[in-house]
Amino acid sequence: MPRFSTEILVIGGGATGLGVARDAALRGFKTILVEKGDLAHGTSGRYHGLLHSGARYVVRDPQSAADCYRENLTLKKILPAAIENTGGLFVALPEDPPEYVEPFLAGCQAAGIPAEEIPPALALKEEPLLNSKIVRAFRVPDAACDSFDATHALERSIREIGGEVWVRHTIVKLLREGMRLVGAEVENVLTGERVLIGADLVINCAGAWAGLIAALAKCPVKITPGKGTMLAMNSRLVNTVVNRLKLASDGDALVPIGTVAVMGTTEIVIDNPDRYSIEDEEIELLLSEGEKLIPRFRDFRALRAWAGVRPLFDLTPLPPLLKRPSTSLRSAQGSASGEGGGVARSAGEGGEASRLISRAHYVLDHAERDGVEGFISIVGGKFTTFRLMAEQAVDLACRKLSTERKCLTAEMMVDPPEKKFHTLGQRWGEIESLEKTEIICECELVTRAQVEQALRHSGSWVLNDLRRDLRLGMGPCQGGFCAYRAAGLLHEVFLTAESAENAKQIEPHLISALSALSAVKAPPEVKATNAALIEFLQERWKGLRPVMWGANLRQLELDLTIYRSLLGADRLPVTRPPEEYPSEKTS
Amino acid sequence: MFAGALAAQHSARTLVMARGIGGTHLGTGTVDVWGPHSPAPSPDDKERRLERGSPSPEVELKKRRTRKHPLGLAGLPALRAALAEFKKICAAAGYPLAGEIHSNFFLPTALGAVRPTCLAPESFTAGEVRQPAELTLARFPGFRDFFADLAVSNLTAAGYAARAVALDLPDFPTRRDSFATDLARAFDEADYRAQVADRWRAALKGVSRLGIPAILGLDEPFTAWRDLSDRLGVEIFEIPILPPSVPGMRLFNNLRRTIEAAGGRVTLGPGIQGWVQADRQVGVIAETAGGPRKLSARSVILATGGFRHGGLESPAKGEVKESVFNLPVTTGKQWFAPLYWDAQPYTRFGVSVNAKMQPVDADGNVIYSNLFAIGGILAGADRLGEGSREGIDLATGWKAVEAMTNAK
Repeated sequence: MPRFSTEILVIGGGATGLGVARDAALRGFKTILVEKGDLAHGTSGRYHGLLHSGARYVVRDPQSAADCYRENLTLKKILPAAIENTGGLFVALPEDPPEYVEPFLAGCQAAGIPAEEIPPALALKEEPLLNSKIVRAFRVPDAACDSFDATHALERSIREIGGEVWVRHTIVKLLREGMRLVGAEVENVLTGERVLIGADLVINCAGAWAGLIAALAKCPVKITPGKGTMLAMNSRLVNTVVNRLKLASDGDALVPIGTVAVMGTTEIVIDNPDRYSIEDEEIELLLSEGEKLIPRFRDFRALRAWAGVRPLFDLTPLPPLLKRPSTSLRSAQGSASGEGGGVARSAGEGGEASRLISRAHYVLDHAERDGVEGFISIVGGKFTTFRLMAEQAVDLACRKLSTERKCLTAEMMVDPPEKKFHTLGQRWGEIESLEKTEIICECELVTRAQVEQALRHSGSWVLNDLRRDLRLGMGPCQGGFCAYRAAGLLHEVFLTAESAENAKQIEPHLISALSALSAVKAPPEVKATNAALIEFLQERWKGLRPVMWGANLRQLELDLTIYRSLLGADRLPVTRPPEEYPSEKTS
Repeated sequence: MFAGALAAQHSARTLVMARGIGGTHLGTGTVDVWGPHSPAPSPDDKERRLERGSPSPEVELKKRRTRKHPLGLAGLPALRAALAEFKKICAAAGYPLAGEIHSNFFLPTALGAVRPTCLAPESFTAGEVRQPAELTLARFPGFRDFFADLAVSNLTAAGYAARAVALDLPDFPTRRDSFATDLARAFDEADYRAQVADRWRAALKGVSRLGIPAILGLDEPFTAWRDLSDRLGVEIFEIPILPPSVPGMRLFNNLRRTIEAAGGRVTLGPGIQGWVQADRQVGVIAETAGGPRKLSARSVILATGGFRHGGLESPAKGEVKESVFNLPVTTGKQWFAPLYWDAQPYTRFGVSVNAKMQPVDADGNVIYSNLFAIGGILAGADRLGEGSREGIDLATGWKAVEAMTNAK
């Protein structure tokens, strides 16, 4: 088995793992990150896109509100490539509790979060679709963050610094010598090829799957997966993040992201982070809460629904109105800084239990906790504070490796180009300046050249990876037209007579990240292309099924006519039947 | 449109009124009568090869006569007569269709799958995969709606001799958007076809049949196809591609011209509401630019389609409504299957009719005496899974016109 060695091995390619890998690489550690799927395949890629100002937490959890605000400012500075600085509003409807305003303002002041009251009329002028009955409105520095842009920017940065990122590599086992972890055996899930990675330190950033990874080292870590369902509406209903001025609850925020607006979220504790479904009641709840913020919300087209799994760390349930979680466990810094609304919501709704679990994050030193050296886990936490979590984990790593190296991530820009505030015509303007090739995905304006470049860059057979890279298939037709074209291009790039020539153009870092390319050396048959197409359509279907009425049903009929009748896609042989696709486990 | 053409030819004063153009522009341009799909994509392709057994639509339908299915209700004689009439209309329009009810063609798709269909334009038939000659498929660089290499790989994997050849199109600008219709209009010009033939000839040495995307002309497609085939000395066959469907548009144009030639009218644009008159008679109210216009008629044929075309609407999850007359809709408990490729239960939802194609209530009573419903709006069929879409459209349309004529 081939052997690689590194100083720090990071497990998990979400925001936390990428944050840790970047932090470690910036401090000069040799770093390899492994991710079993694609980057942001798990919770980061299913996040609602709200870069918290912290105002959501000021009443129940002032310390994490302050952390959030600090990280909000830091990320706006270092990660502008992923952040659209929309600003946020907290608006009170007549039915919202008026007595919440006073502690809200006091909390904002204590945490240093600027919250400026504006007349409801001004809020309505800025956001004309808002419910005209709003009674109060406060401006806060919330923003929208595209987690795909963020993870891609972090990945680029890691590679530039010299760190490595291996996607589609899963941990087979963690290697132990006595009571010390010394590395891992990993498998390329596309090719089945296995390699050993020796490491001085392993950092587990697997989020909702962190308990499963820790179990491989025989360290018990109980993660409670908390499912949150979100609904993307097919138009940018608001230009500002709009929050309800009340305690955190289901469907309390509407976030504009690019062309869409995302309504979120629900909260339900589940057993298995790989197996959950979206319930009709959740969609109904999000629609009816949406209706309160935006009258006639239901009449806008819902694009799709999806759920993310929060990696709640099951410590001790918070009693209602506890100030902040106790951090007396053996954590990295004695006071792992936490954020999160460990907030009870009104009785009678599902998910009570998980709202009572803290959203704080903890850095666990398994040497202290379980007697296993060379192993750190980060558990809990949320997107907004991923950089802080990474900083604390790598601080601990430095102490464990007996070296003093300063964290640089709060100052070093990830990627200079700034994400522009979304305007109509903006994306077309961006496309216009590119090489003149056909538009492959008309909904999201993705060109042939971009698809080819992304395929060569990623070396991946998974059309869903293209979606995460380019937003391919994320518009209203949900892959109806572009899926065929993308499958055709995938096939041309990897499997045709010219593929040897094409393979040469695949980015060199993939060769260093080794076996990702071995699939190209032995090209798979056409069944693999068919499977990629069918898996992509199935994945789109999964998100559409919960919102299947009105225009979506009409669209479905058109798409089914194209793929089942016109193209006969269901008559093609595939490498494996659709029910066995990894994405399917979650339906 | 077919029912309108039949009615006009039966010398009824005929008006076809629609909110917009129907399914022809989205479809294959062929007539599927019965060609059920294999269960779902699977790694095992041994038993999947329908074309080996080549079942006859006629024989299959005889086995499956049921009063719940629109084809069962219309009956085989209606289906036979409808196919014959449709062929007659297309032939008279200079766009002959080939095929008979007792067999299916097996034609390659743009993905390289093989699909059965009963009637196909002459310009499609050389693609029949059971013929031994090698299939050569054209790759048009810069055209995003046809990927010859992928289709060839699938055909080859299924055991058919196939290869791809790059053929470029003269004066084909690199564009962000290029549609089948742009190419089809170019191929309507004889000069353009001559240029194309000169450009392609060298690359097609030794090629006996050539598959190209279905873009060979809109106005005189039969002439365009014959002309280019003759110039190249190669049997050309067209493969339907992503909408807009050029072969579907040809069928629509043929039907429209037939209706107008027989003295009928086609009005596209107005929204239409039902208008219930005395004695359980119906007419419609058209939302025209000048305001609502009431139209009464001796007979009204509702051919508004299923969910895709707005004949059925689902205003909210789990709700369904017939959009013009608010007719009762036969539904089921479950709407959707977990897998995209499963038979979707909702496709069988629709309006129930009797053997005269008159909408009936749950007890089988005729709802409006002069109303008929045909095509995609009808309950009881999984048109996609059965491969029965156009067969149902034509047979039920023929049946309704017959019932309407007899009721005079």
